[in-house]
Amino acid sequence: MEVLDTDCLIALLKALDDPKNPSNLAAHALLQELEAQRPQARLALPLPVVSELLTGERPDRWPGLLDYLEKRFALLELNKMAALEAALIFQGWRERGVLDDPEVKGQARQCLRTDAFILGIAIAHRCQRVYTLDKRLPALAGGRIEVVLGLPEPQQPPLL
Amino acid sequence: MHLPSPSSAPPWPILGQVEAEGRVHRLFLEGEDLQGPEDLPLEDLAGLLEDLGGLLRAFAQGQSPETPATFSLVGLGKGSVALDVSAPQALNLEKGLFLPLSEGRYEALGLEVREAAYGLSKRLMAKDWTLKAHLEGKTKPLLGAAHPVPKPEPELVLEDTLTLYGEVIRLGGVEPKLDLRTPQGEYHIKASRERLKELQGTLYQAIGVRVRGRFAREKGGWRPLGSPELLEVLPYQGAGAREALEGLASLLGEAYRDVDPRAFVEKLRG
Repeated sequence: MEVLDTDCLIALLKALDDPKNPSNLAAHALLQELEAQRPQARLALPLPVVSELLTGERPDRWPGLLDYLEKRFALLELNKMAALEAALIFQGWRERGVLDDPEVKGQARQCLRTDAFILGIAIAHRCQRVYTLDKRLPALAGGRIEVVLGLPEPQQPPLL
Repeated sequence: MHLPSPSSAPPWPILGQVEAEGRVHRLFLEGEDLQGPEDLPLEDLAGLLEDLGGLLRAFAQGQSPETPATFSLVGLGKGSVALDVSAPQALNLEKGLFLPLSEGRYEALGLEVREAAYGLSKRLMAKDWTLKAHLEGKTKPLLGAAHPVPKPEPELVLEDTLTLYGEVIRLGGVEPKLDLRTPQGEYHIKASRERLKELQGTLYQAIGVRVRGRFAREKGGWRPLGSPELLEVLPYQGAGAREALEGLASLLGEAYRDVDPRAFVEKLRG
């Protein structure tokens, strides 16, 4: 299963909603790459990603959205295995001094926390890879799961 | 290019080129049938190097996940067979890897390293060979026939619930069960006849289920111990990536049209 982080999911949704917008070309390229390279791929969303996605919609629309998400996406929970994987990620950071870094405070630290839970959930469910736009994620994963960072360069048609 | 010197100078020329910051470690492959490299078939050398590379990479990954480490074979000579391996200078292979292996302190090594050491040790044992290193003034066995590495026990075993998504490949049987093929492998799931009735007509279709079982943390993820038990069949019907996203995009309409994905996430997590 291919896990989408919230930023990547939104980029893909924007691309499908507004396909002619040039700023969405890279997200289109990712979708095409996914289809070409992994035609059998199923998309998975950790529940923290679902939670973040829902914040962009009115609560009265959440039941309908959840109903659709449950049917078409693999929704991944924070279970004990995921909690342990996240704890191991936190422990690794502590051992490497990341948590003592005065630069990693406030928002940055909060981001790290959510990242750890998303990675932990993906690892516990033995997903193949995580797609994200978050530059920190590959290093945080520490090799336990493949992280695909960023969107591919869109194929430009030749000028002439 | 400057070549780093191994701890004792080899009587044969060092092959290949090494990065200036690399450090050469000499390892000795010993066995009664090994008098020199000419006794080492290429296939065995290839397998040995693959497993040794895996062990060194696993160790390096545990030390510094952000920095990919490169290891190279820079020399091959008598001793029975001596292997000169170049590793990044910053990695303390002697203290961090070779000594714990030699002293049997496997608990000092991470699970991935123990798994890799066990794999290499098993390969060497099949040939009655031992890999040694020069440590603290003596040549000491690290792993193989004279110093086998025990099979690592899973570091964590626990009971948990898990959602699984995959294709139904078998249903029913004398002992009622559901066999599910997932991208991670096949799961054999115990289920009551009543639960299996809910799944009638789903053979070779994608479904989602929630199960409870015992799981062991191992290299490559969590492995179920025995057959997990089916708790619930989920509403999941499966969809390709584009189909799933197109449906969601149509439900959301313009909700995210003017949103910067990175900024949206940073604001929420901040």
